[in-house]
Amino acid sequence: MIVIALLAAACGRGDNNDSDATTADIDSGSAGTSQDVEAAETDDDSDASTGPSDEPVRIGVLFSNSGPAGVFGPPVSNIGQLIEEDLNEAGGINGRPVEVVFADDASDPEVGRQAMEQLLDSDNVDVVLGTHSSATRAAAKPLAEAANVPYIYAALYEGGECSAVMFNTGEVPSQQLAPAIPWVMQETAGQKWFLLGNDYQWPRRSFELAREYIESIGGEVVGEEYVPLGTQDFASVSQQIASSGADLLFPALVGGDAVAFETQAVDFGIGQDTIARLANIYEENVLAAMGPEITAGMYVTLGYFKEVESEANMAFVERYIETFGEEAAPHATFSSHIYDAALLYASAANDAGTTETGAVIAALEGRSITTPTGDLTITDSRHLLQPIHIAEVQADGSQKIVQSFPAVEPDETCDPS
Amino acid sequence: MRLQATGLEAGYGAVPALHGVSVSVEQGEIVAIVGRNGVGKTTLIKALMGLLPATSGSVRLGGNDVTRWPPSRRVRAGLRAVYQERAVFSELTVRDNLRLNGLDASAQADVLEMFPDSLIGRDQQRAGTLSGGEQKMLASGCALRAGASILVMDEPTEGLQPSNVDLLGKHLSQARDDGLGVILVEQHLALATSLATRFVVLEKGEVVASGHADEPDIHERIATHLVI
Amino acid sequence: MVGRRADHRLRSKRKGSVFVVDALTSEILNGVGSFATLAIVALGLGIVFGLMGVINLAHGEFVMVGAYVAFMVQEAGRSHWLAIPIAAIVLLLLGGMIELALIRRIYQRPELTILATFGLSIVLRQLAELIFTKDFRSVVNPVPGATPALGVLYPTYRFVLIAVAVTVVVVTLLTFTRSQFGLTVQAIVADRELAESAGIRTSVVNSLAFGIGAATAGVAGALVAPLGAVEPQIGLTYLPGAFLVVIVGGVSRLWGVVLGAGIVAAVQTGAIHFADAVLAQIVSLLLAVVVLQFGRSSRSGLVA
Repeated sequence: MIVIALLAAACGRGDNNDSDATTADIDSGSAGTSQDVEAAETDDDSDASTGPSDEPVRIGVLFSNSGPAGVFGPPVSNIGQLIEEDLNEAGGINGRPVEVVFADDASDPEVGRQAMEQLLDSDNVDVVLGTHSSATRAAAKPLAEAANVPYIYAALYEGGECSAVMFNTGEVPSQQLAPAIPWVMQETAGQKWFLLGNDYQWPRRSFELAREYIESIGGEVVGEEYVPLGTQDFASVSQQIASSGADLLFPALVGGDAVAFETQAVDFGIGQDTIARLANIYEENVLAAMGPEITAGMYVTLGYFKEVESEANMAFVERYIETFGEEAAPHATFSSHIYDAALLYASAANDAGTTETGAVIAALEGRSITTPTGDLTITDSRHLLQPIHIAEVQADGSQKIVQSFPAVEPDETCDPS
Repeated sequence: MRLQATGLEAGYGAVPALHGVSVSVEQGEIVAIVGRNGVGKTTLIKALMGLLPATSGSVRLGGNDVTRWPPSRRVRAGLRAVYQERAVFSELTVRDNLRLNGLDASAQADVLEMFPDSLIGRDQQRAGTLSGGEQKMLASGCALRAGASILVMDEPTEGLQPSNVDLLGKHLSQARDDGLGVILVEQHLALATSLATRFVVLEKGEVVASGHADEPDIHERIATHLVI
Repeated sequence: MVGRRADHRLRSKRKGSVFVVDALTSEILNGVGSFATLAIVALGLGIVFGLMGVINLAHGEFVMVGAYVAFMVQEAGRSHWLAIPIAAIVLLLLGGMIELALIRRIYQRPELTILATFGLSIVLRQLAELIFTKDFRSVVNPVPGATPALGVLYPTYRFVLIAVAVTVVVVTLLTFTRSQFGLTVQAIVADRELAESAGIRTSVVNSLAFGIGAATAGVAGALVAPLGAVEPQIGLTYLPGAFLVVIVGGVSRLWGVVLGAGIVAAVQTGAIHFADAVLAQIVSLLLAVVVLQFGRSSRSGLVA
């Protein structure tokens, strides 16, 4: 396949000598072959009227838009439009227009693998941005590696990923917890933690680190429990928490499980007024479903909140609401990570002057950009140095940022070579 | 009321067991269907009742073409059946069988008393614990007391003791005189002969002979078809 | 792991007062609540499988629709108590119509009923998504807080849930086992042709029975709505438990559903009490495997 592509590229190069000036200007910076392959294909299946620079750069987004995690999908779908608008307004990537292509993993790794296949084989994307489970990442990663296509996993996750084609720009537990745990303990004067999570890798890794941070500053973990994903009945667990003597709770529960736990726990006497929460995934939708009576006073630690009070962010959120309406699923951590990943990729590809994988990956390493989220830098571990905020849920259910850490280092290592 | 099958074709799978059978019965008469085993008598009963769909031909009941009606609708129009096999709900009690047939308390008592030696006092027993003959009596009793205009019966005397055969004959002739029309598939030739007003002989799914009971040579004509 | 339960006393700081609670009694109440929920969710599944031979993979979606009915009743400004009968009626009609339009055509074809109801479940989820979006909706608990009873302080709504669920299950079971309607259903199960020949409109009875199965799921959905998020996928979280109950309890007797729910709830609550929720799930699945391995027939479970 690679040989054929190179041959096609060579032919394409010859055919394109007479392309218009704009293309020539942009092509002048090109060192790789990938873009030329695109050009060759354009010549093959379109009339001469369309120049090679019109062949769009395709940004694939692998996300969960159905199934249990589908609730996170709508803002990600929305953000695709803003990515296209912003990148194209800025001149595209290397002068080529940008097109965002979505694929839904239906919250299922096997479907995710097929969706990745679709993006790579049928949609011919130049990069894949992912916001989905780690299970889907594990299923999809080998395909990206085999196709040698950059894959930026942009969801908060347990950490530890390292691959030649991958960057991981979501928050890892060390970023969410290292600053937040001491802050919350100081703020609430609480010492005794109960850790309650869904039974999979991310909560387990989060708790492993949480325990470390808690104990290093003299706190105590009085209970650590896991429940299967899709648990509806939290009666027994609630009683365990109530009788544990904990004054702080770290619930690493996702989606409907989080709502079920919080709505049930309050009747067992473990409301926010008795045991304070620090959550690292409770987002907008989940908090809204619990209702302000339950959520008021909770702390949430994430890399992005739409409430971030920078001018750039407030303008961006306003534009999001103007574009999609007041009723639209609000811009949140998942959509912001995808937006930032797209900008990181565009910045790297523009500097590299190509979409060729090797060059883009080299350009991504150590790259710094500023987005509405804040200042972002890709670390040596191929994770992201990024701001981390702690928000407190207000009595009306809104979130207010009570503490920000502008640049939090991920405690990760990665040497893909 | 009249039950009239015309050119009836029906069967299991692709092979029809009835090839254009036409039979009819009026209220107040008993039509005996006779023939050797496997000539399509049971298929005819099921097709008349609607358990087997007619692939061709028609069934009329009173003024209605009931060919496409489900059995329960035919029942409500005045038709009832007693089947040769699985004549009662063997998992349910005798009492539940009576209730399921829509019988009120006095009709239920009537059925039990119709065959006093066999059914009285056994109403709380599961019907499956009755003997085959007793199950038949229960089914016949239910059908006779359910207020039907036309009754189709498949071998109702099978498994009955001689005394009960006579008793059933008595009940049937009484019902006929009260205006019930009966299509009677019966191996017990003596009973069929004593009750029937008309005869229809089936052979290989076709009507090969028929006649009134008062025709002089009727018994000889039937006998020739029944000789093996 | 058991050691952390040495302190069998739970202090509640709500409203400043201190309640002393017997943890064992509470755990038994947890088990009863789990039993009541399992029983009412599994009941309809057991009815349509046991009586009609239909393996209804859309049963969880009936629960989902019931939960959305509760949400809509709340949005209309009406009481949650009204939502429960309304959910029953809506699902009775919906179930009846689904039987009429779909299930009726495929009796006696178990593999087709699985496919058809699987498709139906997808359609119902998609419809819910179209109408309500994927957003989590919530139904406000009509009786928040806890009530002192049986010497413990226990969430009030759970008492309500237990009472309503047990009542619905018992009334439904009595309807199917003791009434004339139940008798006709039993007759159809025993011999559909003979039932028709006795004048029973089996198609009407089947629609009604399927509708009642759906209605119990609807009540279940309305009942659990205040205990979690209402969203298009929730049916999927209730279906496995319901199947487990039906497998363990069997359906050759309808009361098997109750016994199955009892066994599953006892095993799960016990496993959570002595170990944790993850082990409870594993133990439940093992239970299903054991029953399937040694079950006497596809219709009989461990107990019926």
